[in-house]
Amino acid sequence: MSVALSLDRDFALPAAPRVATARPRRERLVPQARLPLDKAMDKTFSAPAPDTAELARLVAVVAQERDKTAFAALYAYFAPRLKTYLMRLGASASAAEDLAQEAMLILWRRAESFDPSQANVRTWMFTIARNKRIDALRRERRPELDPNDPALVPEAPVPADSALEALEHEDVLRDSIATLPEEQARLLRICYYEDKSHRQIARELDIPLGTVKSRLRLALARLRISLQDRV
Amino acid sequence: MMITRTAMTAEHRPSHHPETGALVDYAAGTTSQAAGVMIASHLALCPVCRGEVARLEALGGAMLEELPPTPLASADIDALLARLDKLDAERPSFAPERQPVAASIVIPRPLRDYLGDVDVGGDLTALPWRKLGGGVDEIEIRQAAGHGEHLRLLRIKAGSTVPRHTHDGNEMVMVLAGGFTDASGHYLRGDVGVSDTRVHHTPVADSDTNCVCLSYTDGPLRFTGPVGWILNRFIRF
Repeated sequence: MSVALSLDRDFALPAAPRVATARPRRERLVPQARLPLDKAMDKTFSAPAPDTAELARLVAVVAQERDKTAFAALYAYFAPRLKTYLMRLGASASAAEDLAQEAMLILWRRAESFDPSQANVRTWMFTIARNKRIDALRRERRPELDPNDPALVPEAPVPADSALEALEHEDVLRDSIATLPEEQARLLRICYYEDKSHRQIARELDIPLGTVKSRLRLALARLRISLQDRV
Repeated sequence: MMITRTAMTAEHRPSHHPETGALVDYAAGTTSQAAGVMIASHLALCPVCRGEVARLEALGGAMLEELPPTPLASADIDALLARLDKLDAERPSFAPERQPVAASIVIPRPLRDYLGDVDVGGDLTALPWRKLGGGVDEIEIRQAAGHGEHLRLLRIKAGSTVPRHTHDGNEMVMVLAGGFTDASGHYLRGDVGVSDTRVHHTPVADSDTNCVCLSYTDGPLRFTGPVGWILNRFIRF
């Protein structure tokens, strides 16, 4: 049996990915009158972390103007964090840096397809880095949802304000994580940053497997991620 | 009453879901490939879990912010910026092209990718089924399975009972066509039954149509009922 795999899996967007369409590059909208790039970079690396709206704006500028200064600002914010993320999951420092750079290049290539009404830039970059890691370190393909799958069961129509709520959810999440009991926050970090089965996690924390599961459910209910009771 | 397949498949929204932890692992990217095929296929059929995974990915994004940045060895990004120019020069070749696939409303895309060139445009009988006996046929999907894992399509003849069995690991079974009932409820398209070593179950396929399921196990399945010993000889571990 031959295996047919999707070719563009690196580029999947979270939530509701859009299919990339070949579009001519847009005209530069603003004349360039900026700091030389190296100066801009120095400034960028020491600048405070950009907020959600600023990140989305920078991606839009990259998409519309192929602007390297905006890209450098995104790089300064994301690359060192993605490096940490990838190192926590077992990549060497140099491999993590290479993968973080690869992820940033995908941002450059795919900036036009990023739709701020569908997802948040941090979420997008998280999924890109996550997939890069699976491809590179585990030499596996990540099975991904295909938004154009004829088998896809569509969502029930949602009121517009709940879509907006979903979009703002990430910002709310950041504040909510801080309010979680330490044991729940710790468990989430292990789940996201350590490639371990729940059985292994239970052994390491010296708690029953059932406690790992119930603690996870509690955390996700508290963060309003799980909206229903599950096993 | 005549119900078209489209109406059936489009309207059923699953009521049995994978465990929360399985969705977390999928969103975090720590799930195995075979379990990932199961979860991604369920997501195609379950808008509720799609939403949950989207929120779990947003959690991954939100958690990035609290990670301490690790200084980059090459803080000078000239080389990277030079690659950007090169990327732009090469840009047209990066337009991703999807391979055309036969439309299938029965097999979700994440699973179809592993079934090769067989035309599965709704006709599951075209697949290379292997008889296990007892009204059960299987197709083992080896490409995705890691150590100790098995991903299989199972076809249970209408009205047949799968001999009572248990698992040394965990099992997820998702209905693709037809339905089955066991002690925990009635399962239809997209529904996922989750069981572990504690569960001894005896699923019965609905009487009106063959039941096709995707089964994922991370430990051997053991048949424990009277007919079980026959199947134990046939099923490959």
